[in-house]
Amino acid sequence: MNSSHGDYDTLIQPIEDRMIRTVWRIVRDPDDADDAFQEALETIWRRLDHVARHPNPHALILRICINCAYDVLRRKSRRERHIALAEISDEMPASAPSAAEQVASRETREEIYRAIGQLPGKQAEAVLMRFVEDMPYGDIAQALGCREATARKHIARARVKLATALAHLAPSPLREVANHEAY
Amino acid sequence: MKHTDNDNSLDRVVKSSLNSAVPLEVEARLRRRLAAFREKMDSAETEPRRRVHILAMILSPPRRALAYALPIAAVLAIAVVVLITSGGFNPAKAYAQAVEQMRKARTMTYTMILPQSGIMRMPPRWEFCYKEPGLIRQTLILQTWLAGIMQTVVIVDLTQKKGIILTSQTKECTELDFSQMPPDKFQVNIIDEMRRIPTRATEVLGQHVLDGRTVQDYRVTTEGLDRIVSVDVETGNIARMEGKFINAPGMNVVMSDFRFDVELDDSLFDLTPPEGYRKVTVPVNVANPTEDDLIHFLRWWAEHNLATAFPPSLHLKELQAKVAEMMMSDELVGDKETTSTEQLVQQSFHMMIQGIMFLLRMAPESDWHYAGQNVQLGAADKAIFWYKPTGKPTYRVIFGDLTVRDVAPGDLPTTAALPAQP
Repeated sequence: MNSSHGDYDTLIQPIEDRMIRTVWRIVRDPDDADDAFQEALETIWRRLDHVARHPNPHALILRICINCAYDVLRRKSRRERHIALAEISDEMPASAPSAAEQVASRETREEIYRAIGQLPGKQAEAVLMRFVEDMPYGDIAQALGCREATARKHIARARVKLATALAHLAPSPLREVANHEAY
Repeated sequence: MKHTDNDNSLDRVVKSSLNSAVPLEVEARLRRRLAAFREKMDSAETEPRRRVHILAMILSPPRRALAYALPIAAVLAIAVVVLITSGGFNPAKAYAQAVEQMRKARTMTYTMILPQSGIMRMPPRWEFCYKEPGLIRQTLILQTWLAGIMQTVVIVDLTQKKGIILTSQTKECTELDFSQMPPDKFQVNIIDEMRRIPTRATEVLGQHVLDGRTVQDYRVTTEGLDRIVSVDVETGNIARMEGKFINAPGMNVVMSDFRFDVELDDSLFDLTPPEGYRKVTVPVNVANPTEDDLIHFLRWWAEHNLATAFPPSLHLKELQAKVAEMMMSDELVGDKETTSTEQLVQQSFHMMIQGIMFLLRMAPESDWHYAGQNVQLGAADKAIFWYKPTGKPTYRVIFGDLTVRDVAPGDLPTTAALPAQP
C-alpha cells in the first residue's frame, strides 16, 4: 500500500455510521445489508488509491455504498419479482417502526424504489444520495464527478419524474407538480 | 428548475418512507465487517509505513473528537483489551489490537468508580454487564450522607426498546419505554460510544509497577476527555483505566475488573419486575411533548444549579455530562435538605427527556435555535430559544424569564445561537 492510500481513521471511521445507515435504509434486510456492505468495502478496497485521492472521499464512499446497496436490491427484485421487501421487513423484530415509518407503508417504499429504479443512472444515484443521506449538493456533485449545477439538474429532473410516478401516493401538491412542472 | 413547496412535499414523502433505524444486530454485523476491513488496511501497510504511523500517533493529536460524553460512556470509551502478541510486547500495536478486540467483544463486564464525590460517603460504584445485541445491566451502589446505602439496578433491552430501574431501598420497579424515542436521535447504547474510541493512542507513556504488576500506560485524548489506559505487560490484560474530563477538573472515573466474551445468562437482563417490587410509572409523556415541557425543563435546570443559569446547550450528550459534573460538585443539589441524590438524578433524567423530546419531535423546517448559555433565569430581555411552529407565519421566542412571545421572522434575535441538533 503506498502512501497515497490514506488510512482507515481518515477515510472510513468518520462516516462509519453513515455507511451503515445508508446501506440499511436501501436494502432493509440483514443478509442483503451484509452482502451490500461487503461489496461496498471490496469496491472501496479495489479503488482505494482513487478514493484516497478523490476531492471528497467521504462522498465517494457513500456513493459506493448507495450503488452497492441498490445493486443488491435490484438483483433481488429481479430474482424475486418484488415480493420480498415487505415480508422481509416484517421479519425484523428489532426494527420497530418509528412513527414516520408507520405512516409510510411498505408498499409505498417499494413503489418509491421502483420509481427510482426507472430513473437514468446518474439521476437515481443523485436522488438516493439526497434522500437517503441528505447529502449537500456540493458533495453529490463531487461524488458524481460533475458540477454542482449538474447535480442539481439531475435531482430536479428526478423529482419531476418521481412526482409523476408517485403522484397517486401523495397529497395534492404532488399531483400538481406532476401535472404542471416544466423543464 | 426552481425548488418549490411541491418538491418539499415529494421530499417528505420519499424521505419518510426511506427513513429507518438500523437494527442492532445488523449494525453489529456491519461493524464486524468494518473491523475486518480495518485489519485488512492495516495489514497491507509496509513496515516503513507502519513506523510513520506510530510516529504520527505519538506526535499528532487524534483526528476524531468524542467531545463531551456521559461519564459512564466516557469510561466505556477507554475500555480496551489487549491481545497477547507473539514476538514480544509492542506497545503501540498492543493498544490498537486492544481496541479491535474490544470492538468485537460480544459480552463485557467491568466495575467503575467515581473517586470524586462531594455528596457521597463512599465513591459511587457501578457494576456493568453488556451482551449483544443490546442488553445492558448496570448496578449502581451509592452510600450518601443522607440516605445511607442505595442500590439501583438499571436493565435496558435495546432490541425491545424497554428497560427497568430497580431501587432496592424503596423496592420500586420503574418501567422505561423508549419506543417513542426517535430511533436515529436517541442513542442509549453506551457500547457504541466505547467503540468510537480512536484506534491510536495519543501517546505511549512509560511503564511502572501497579499492584505488583508491570503495566504500560497509554494516553488517549479526545476533545473534552483524557484517558490513561494501563496494560499488564506480561499478560496483555488491562490493569486499570482512568478518564478525566478536561472541562471538569477533578472529575475522573476509574475502571477495573474487565472481562470480555464471558457467558452472561439472559436472566441478568430480564425485564420482569422481581417479586416484592412495586411498579412505578415513569411520569414522562414522550408521545406528545409540548413547548411547556421544554419550558419546564429550562426552569428546572436553572433552578437546580448554583449559577441559576440555563443549560450550556441542548445537545443530549453535553447535558448528560453536565448533569454528572453538577452531581459531583454538589451544584445539582439545590435542595439537598429534602431531596435524595437518587431522586435528583431521576428528576434530571425525566426533565431532560421531556424537554429534549419536544426538540426531537420538531419538524425539520422548525428552524430552532438555542442561545441560553450563561443566561440567568429571569433575564427578560434575552431570548434563549426560538422556533417556527409548523404552518405558522411567526416564530415562538422564549425569553430568559421564560415568557413566550410570537415574533415575526424579521424581528428574530441576532444573537449567535446554536442550531438544532439535540
